[in-house]
Amino acid sequence: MIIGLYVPGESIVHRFSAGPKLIAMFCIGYTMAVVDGPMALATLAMCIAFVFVFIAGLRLQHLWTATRPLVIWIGIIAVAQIGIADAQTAANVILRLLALVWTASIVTYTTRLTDMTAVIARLCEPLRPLGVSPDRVAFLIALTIRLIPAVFDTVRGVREAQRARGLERVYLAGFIPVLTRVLRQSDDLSDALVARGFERWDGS
Amino acid sequence: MTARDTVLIALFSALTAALGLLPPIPVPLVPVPVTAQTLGVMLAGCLIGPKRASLAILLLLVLVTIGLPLLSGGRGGLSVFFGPSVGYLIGWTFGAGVIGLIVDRMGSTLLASFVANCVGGIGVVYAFGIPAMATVLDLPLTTAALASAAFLPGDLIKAGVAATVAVAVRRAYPEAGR
Amino acid sequence: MIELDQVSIRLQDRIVLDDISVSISEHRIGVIGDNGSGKSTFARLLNGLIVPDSGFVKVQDLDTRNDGKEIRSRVGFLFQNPDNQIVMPTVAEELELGLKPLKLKVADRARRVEEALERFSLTHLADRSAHLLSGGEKQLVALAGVMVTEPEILVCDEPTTLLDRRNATHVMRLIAELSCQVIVITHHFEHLHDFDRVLVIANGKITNDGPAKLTIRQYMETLT
Repeated sequence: MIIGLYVPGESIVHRFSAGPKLIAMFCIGYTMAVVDGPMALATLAMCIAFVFVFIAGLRLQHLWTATRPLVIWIGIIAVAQIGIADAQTAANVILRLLALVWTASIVTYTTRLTDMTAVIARLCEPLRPLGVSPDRVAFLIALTIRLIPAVFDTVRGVREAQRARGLERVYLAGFIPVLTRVLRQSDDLSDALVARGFERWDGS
Repeated sequence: MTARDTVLIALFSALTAALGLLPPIPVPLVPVPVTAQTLGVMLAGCLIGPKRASLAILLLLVLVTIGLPLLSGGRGGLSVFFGPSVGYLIGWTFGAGVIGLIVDRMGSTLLASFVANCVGGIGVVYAFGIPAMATVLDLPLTTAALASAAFLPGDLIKAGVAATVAVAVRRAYPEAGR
Repeated sequence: MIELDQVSIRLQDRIVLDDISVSISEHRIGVIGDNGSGKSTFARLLNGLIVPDSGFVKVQDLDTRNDGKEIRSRVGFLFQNPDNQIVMPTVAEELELGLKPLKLKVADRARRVEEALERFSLTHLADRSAHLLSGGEKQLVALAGVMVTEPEILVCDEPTTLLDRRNATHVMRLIAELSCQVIVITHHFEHLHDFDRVLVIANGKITNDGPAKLTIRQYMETLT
């Protein structure tokens, strides 16, 4: 079972619906691209962090989860920018990156998977003339969420079987049974979809 | 879109996600840990045709967008699209398609698959990834390219692995690309 | 009522089913045979998942070659492996999926799902992840997902092969109690004793056909 990043809560940010939250995120993101100078950006980043912890009611631990993948990048920026330009530019880039990533994380952490899926499906509405049905998109999302743990079990099962045979490091051979199993499953799954009336859904 | 298209897109999207859940493999002489996730991009391109492969990767990005931590290292959510790797993610979508196109043209031999993986899975991906990284980090293109070079050895290994696996799978399961 | 008329299926140069003609109208029919005898292909002919290379299959006077979609709305199909049949993340969503083509009102849909959950004693699992259920529970979800659409005929392709004895017996009892026409392909023939008719398939041909107890006994004699 895969678990989404959503953190349940009752905050005002949680209660906001997904669409406006995304629009707000883009507005803030745009502001950040325009704002310059370490002081201004630092203030902005602080504000975002304040909203993150005190208004959205998320924990410091979540702030860290959002920041962790950036640590190595911050190092790279610091080294490269100080080499090329100066410390001020480095600070600008780092603060902007942090503020943007934190803003986006607030949206992700406070919005349910189902609400986000609904927004995605709605965004697909204009694509209808191109043969994209919002219904189908929502179905594909659900189907994939259902299949990830099963495919992961297959990957893990094959690795275990190889370990049991003493093939600790033969990674390459392991992918072949995984792939043949996935492909065989695709035959059965598409049969199952057809048997259950897939062709009679709208937009096919 | 047929039931088979739908299922293959979902399955390869799930496969690429599942490969991202595997712990990274440290490879001697390669400075950064090698994750299995881009293997999924290459395998999709080699095995299910350009259109389905692109859509499978696009679908994975949609799942990431709605808040699932499916990228290697448990990353996910909207924030990844504001980070320095955004270009690589978008590049995957096009790269998988280009791999599929090349394999369709040149046939699914080991050499053709390897070339396809290098062009689509490395060339196209870097072509999106490097400029985006340069923009996000406000670096000159050359510096961004230099930083990306750290991933090149690992990616070349993966191009070879994916090509070998794809050719073997096609032999075990001839109707794969149908 | 299902009719097969001189049906043959070839896979490359192998003949999977060879000139089969049979008409099926009994309430509960079992189909038995060895691995590779053509049983699964036979099952897939009945709802048009496979169409014959020659001859034709008629379901309630509709030809599977032309009216596949309509036939599949009347013929439910239960697969051997529920993992390959269940497509939605949760049990309730899975049941709802089959109702999609019927274009019911939201309230009617919810009611049908609820009834089916209750009928197969799955209500307590409604919001659980289908992936985390036991094998027996999964097969029940798959069965409920088919029966929620109220098909006129149910075809089951080895529905108990992956289950333990207790779950196999339970699933088969539920299948046998259904009021629609039921065709069960299986090699667990002990579950077929009170069926109305049993067919034996071997090497792509129907080699025996008759009342359940007699046909099963004769099949068992060929095993030794």
